[in-house]
Amino acid sequence: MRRKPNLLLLSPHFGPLLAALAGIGCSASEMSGAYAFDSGTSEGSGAQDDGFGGDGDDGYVPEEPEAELAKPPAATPRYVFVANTSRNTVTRIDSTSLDVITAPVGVGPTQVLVSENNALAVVFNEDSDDLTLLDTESLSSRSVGLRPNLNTMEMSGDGAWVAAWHNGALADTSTGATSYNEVSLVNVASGMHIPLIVGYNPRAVRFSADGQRLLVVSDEVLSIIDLTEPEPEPVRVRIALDTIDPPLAEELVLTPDGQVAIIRQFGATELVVVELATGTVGAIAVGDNPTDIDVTPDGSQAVAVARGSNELWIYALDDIFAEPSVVVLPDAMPFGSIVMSPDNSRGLLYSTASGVPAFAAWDRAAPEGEEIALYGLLKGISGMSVSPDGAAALAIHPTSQNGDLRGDSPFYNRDAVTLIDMGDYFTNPIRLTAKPVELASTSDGALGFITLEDTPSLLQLDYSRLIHDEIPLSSAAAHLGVIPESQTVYVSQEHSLGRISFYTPSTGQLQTITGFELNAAIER
Amino acid sequence: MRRLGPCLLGLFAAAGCSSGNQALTAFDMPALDRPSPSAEGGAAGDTGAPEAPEPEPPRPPAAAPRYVFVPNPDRGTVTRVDADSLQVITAAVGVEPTAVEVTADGGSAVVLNEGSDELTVLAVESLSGASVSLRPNLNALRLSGDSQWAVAWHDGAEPDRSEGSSSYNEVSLVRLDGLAHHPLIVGYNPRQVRFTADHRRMVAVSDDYLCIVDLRADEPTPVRVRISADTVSPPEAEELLLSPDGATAIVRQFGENSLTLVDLETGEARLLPVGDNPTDIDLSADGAEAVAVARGSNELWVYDMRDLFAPARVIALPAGMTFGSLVLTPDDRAGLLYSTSSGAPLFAAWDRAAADTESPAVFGLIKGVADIEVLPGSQRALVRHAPAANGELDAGSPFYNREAITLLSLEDSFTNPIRLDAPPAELARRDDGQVGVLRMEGADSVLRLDFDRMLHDEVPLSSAVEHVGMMPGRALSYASQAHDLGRISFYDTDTGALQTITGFELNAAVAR
Repeated sequence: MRRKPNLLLLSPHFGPLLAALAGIGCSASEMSGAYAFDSGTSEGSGAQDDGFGGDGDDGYVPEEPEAELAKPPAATPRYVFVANTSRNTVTRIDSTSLDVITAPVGVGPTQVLVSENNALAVVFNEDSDDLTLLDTESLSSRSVGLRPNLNTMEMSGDGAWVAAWHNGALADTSTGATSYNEVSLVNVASGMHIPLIVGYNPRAVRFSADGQRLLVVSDEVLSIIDLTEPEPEPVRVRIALDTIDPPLAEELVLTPDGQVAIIRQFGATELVVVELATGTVGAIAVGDNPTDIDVTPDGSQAVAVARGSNELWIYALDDIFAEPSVVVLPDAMPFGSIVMSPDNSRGLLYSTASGVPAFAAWDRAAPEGEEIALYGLLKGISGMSVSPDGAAALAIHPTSQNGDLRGDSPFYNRDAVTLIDMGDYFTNPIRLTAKPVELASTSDGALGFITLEDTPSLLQLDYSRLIHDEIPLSSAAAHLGVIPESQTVYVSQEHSLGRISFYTPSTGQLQTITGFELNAAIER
Repeated sequence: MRRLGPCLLGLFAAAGCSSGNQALTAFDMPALDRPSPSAEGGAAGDTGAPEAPEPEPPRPPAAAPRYVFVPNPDRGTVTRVDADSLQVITAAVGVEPTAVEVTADGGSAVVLNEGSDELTVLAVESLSGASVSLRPNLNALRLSGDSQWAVAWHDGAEPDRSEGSSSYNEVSLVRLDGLAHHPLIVGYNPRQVRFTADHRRMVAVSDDYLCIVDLRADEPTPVRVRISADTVSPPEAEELLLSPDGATAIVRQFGENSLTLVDLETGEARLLPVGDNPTDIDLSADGAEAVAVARGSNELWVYDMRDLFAPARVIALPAGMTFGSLVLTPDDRAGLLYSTSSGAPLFAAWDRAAADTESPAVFGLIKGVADIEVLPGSQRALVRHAPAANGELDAGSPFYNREAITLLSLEDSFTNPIRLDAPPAELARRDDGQVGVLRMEGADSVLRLDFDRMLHDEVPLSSAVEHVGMMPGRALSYASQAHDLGRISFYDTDTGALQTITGFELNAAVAR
């Protein structure tokens, strides 16, 4: 059921909001926001009758951030790069010949990203606080020092820049004097390192699609860094009226043209909208307590789940201030998260915070009033994903969310996943022996693969038949991926001399190479 | 907002200025007609503890234009560092030198030897010197701005190591030319001792008396002015402010609702209304205004120093929050308000150009505040946090129960909190105001703070750091460190180059 949103809540006119929000100019580029001394927001949120400061309290904690089980491999058309964290090396796999060569990098490499032009593999070494820039062909390298205690890396779409930052959601191993306001920006070609001070505890870091800006969102400010400047500096824009205890800035979405940032705050009744060129801050209505916002796969719309008011709010990204459409969700259960099908025709709605063992299927083509259908699951949900061709979906179930299960159920207090046929939403729950860690799927959508925590096995998921198979490995899996444009799966494993297995589903053949770390010096 | 006219609420009879050190007894004093807090309309019930005293304004290191002097308490020596050549020479002084000050004319380095109760005065160039005995058990030192006088006293805020029979009413005033020592009896437990800007007087404040010493007299003698009507349990005299013209002293007492003004020429004392329980008072950089924080009534009271009894401007502070301390920016454009006693993790930014009806804007901090220091020349301030003042932090926060500082932008109130492994102890600032070096208690490293970019870098050293400072006019900082034979490191805050000299104490006898 759709309803017309109340037009009074839409606020394309920034005047009163500019007066309330402080815009901060740290560089000569002129921002039109008011300065802190003028804000008069001594009382914090709730003091102004402009639609800000709604309760947003639906009784549930924030939804879990969307799981990053499936990460694309660091790959060129020919090679795949795998970080070996405990051995301070990176392994390059030739996807044609399956030749394996290993190169030493810094201490504790945790991430590898490949530049757009496939020339460099950028390795983030968490324990030595530096990057290794690795030539993908020759494996020659150079290092770039970073600010200390960072744990996550992002790369711009054009591969020209890398930003490393401290993601507070990950374990903190920092020592010594530590600031949680820092980002290291590195120009990949020149190796120039630019340390930046952004808002405290950055929640998300994004490069605009055009590669011209870096955005860093914290609860109190959005930092905008113009990458076209000779010496990029952050321009910090206040995004919360409450200057004492700002709401959690849970999610950052950019419009495809890179001109507007949309920030979702927990417990709010608006989305904060920032025009990046000017730093102008405004807001758009979004029902009550939006707990998720996603950009549709075609990039044309943003869909927000307003958990507090049980609604979906759908915005056109080419005109964010145009009237959104609103779909009313059944009030039978809370919905806080959404994942879209690749063709944009359907969505799956669920909640990670409520523990409710059910999901809803949203058919965007169905007549009004018939778009939403509810389906039960065996256990509560910690995440959902859709296969690359949209034919199947996977639900992840945490150990403790048992729904209505009895204590003698084989799934009670156990890890599990459920395969879902997206045609009729038939489900096949699969009990696991351990927590799923990584997910990779073949590009044709036929198969998916899961590794389990500390478990020497690989789980194969047949998305069309909903069948699973367990493939034993020699040692616990470390990283998993699918060789691009193939169905061959690689699984790096824990072994002091290096171990990697290649699995070919069509033949069931598993090839394992052990000891390739011995070649590190020779091969180079 | 209330505006009060001048209100002469009582008059103290000043002790005679010419006849000697006589104060009037309680029987001689007129009854003091102080208004009650309810009559003034001030908020009752401010039961909070006093605010932590503001740290002494950072004084430049004991430095002549060419030299820096560093005391070495454990070794009975003072080290002179040549700012140009970095030559290090050590001179023997008395026992346990704890403070060194260089006279304003740069000619002498004055050393307080706490262990031998004496003052040593060294010629800056030759290091030749002479000593004079002081009264025992003194632990604080201050020099007059005209290079003529030094005063030592016992600061009760420091640990008391006195032995034997001890009076806590004593100061030692020394005329540096000739080293004439004048022992003086002032009020019990002097809270602050100051020289007036015109160099004509020394002023010492205690809870019950303000003592005025005329330095032009052949034999300086204290004139004691009673500043409290309560002769049994006087309120704590927390702060002493001197007018730039040296004519007036303003005393702030905890829990009172008035300030005590003393005419330093006549000794006349008067009361000035100030809301309820003033917990801080500061002078603007240009000396034109004095600003008091009335914590009990949640107000700022702004006085014109040219006419203190003209109606004060009263500015209401945000309701529901406690502000007890204030620091003003050197450009007189703004002030930062906070509280050290409430533990609240926030501050307010006061735009001094804003209308008095506009309440300052409030911003959050990571933890409660121990103090805030504005950093001249940088548009930044440094917040020191109280480790146990965790505010709303979860126990899992990396800042929970930890030492921390925050770099704060005065332009937009943006903050960068930095967690530390040890308490912040001492900050040395470069002359251009862009960089500082922070010593942490007991740590064998220092932090380089880039105020402009709000970045920090840790610089490891070979042993625990005892003092830090900046060489005048240079980007070079020094750090004296714990070592039996003397150790000092020079750190270039521009290039990051580090040089360490160890063993210079071997020269101590030769150098003199």
